[in-house]
Amino acid sequence: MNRRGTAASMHILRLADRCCWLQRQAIGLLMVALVVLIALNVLTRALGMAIYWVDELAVYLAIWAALLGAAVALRNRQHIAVNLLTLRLGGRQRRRHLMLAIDTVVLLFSLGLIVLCWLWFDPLPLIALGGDMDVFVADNFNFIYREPTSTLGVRKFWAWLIMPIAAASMCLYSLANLLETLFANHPGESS
Amino acid sequence: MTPLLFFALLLLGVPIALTLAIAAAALALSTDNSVLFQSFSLQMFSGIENYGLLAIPLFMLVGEIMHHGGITLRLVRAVSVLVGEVKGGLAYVNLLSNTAVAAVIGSAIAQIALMSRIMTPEMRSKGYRPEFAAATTAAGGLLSPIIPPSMLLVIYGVLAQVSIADMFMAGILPGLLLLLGFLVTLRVLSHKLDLPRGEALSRNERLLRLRQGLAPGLVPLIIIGSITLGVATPTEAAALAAIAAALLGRFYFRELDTEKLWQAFIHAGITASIILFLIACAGLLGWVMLFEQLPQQMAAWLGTLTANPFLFLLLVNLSLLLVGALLDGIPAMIMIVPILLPVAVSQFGIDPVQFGIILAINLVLGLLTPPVGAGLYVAAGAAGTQPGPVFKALLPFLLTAVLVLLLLSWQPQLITLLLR
Repeated sequence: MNRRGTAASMHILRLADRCCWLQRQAIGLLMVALVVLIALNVLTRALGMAIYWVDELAVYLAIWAALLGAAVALRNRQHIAVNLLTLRLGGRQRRRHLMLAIDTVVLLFSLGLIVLCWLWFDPLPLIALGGDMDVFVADNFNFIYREPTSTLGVRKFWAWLIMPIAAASMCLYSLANLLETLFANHPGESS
Repeated sequence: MTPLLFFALLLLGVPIALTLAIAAAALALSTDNSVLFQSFSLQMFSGIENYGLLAIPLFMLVGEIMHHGGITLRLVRAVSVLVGEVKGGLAYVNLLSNTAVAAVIGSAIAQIALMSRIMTPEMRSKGYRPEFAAATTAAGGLLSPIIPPSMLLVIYGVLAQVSIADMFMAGILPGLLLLLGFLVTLRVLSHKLDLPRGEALSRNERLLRLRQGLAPGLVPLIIIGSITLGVATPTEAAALAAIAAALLGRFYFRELDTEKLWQAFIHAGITASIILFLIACAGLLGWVMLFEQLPQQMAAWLGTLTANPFLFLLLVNLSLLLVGALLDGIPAMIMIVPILLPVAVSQFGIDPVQFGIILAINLVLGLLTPPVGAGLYVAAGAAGTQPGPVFKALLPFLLTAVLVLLLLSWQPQLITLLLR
């Protein structure tokens, strides 16, 4: 790899680390909000003035935390996997090849997820139509921008937005992992 | 083609969640259902859009805060008062405190990791052999997913559409049965292996430990009490327990500073998302399989094997022990329930609550059996010994657990006794 390539991968690694830090803080905030909301539920119900939208909001916050967390866990290689082969394989070089194969599959998965989100959000026709929702729905039978939430009074699109965010983060992180394995002298655990 | 790809990726070491999602995509492609792709991301999202699943991050949080707040340690010390100067005293303490901690923590691995740090060094310093110390701790960890709260039971409740509170209630009796079995096993072993005697505590020391254990005892009390009395859903009980644990650790014991608390929130969130993402991806595969009517075909085939519910459960037990030896409990649960539950209920008339408990015990046993026994590795690592000897020392306990499992499969009404 030439020097320019190495510099580019350094940038990607740095970007991944910054994103990771930011998303970890976001997960912390979402978890705090989750606890507060659920406790609020118990309290208001005991007082006989239950707030009807708390449950739905709590579920969306948890999903946001879960998908951000799934991306961060990808970077940290924390996801549950069958490690039969990794444990059995002797030799640093062989293990590195295995890691490269796994990292490549993970990257392909993340790219696939981006494509799937693209198919679902289908932004190009909407832009071509100048954001005209009625024509978009009539043309594509895609109700993603129209579906309401049950109790929150906003469009569900805002909750769903975490899918492309998570997919993009996963792409960044799996690319970073792949680069790390590629350039590492010591294959194995990353931070 | 798809099963081949699935197992290849799985054995290669690709994260199980991703393997499931990729298999779903491959299945959709190979069966000309690529029209499904437009709804893939939506389906992934809806797979975890469930109020009951909120219990998972919240119970993770309770365990995390309890540990960092020094609450678990005090709970263990209070329980130790119950056991006197008998042979194998500390081993009894280990099992009993595992029971108390199981009423707070919902995951066997988390519990084994935690209790290994507390109990194993203590047992070693009192003259127990490291593999026996590790085995006792690991056996105690088996109680965690059966005694409420339990991640496995939350996930089962969501998948099977059974009330999670019912699942928790149903776990109490089998959990205590398991504990009883372990205690009897230990009694036999303590004479055979000539285990060290427990320490004699002075009256003052006893009172001190009990008094220090009162406040930590609040946390399990909140969880079990609010659920059994029907005051709160399991999700709400978890949130209340998290708040109680945070307040205790921060202001009463003062072992928890703001930074530690913040890290506990982040850590619990990420650990929970690993499980939730797994559920989302498994939901995706289940959804594609539904289009192919694969579960129905599987059910029809299983129905031809036997018509006797007990034989069916034995068959399930046997195959699950094999599955559990290769897969971790939660992924196994997620993959198996959609396939086996409809058969169990519709063809053999088995109560879904009873079926869930039997599944849970089964899969937990898998955590302690090689080659993929995560619990075994954790316990052995903490004791500074090899998984092999620990597994050998564990065998009497595992045998007891299998006997309990057989008893429950034979008389499943024992499981739902508390629900009636």
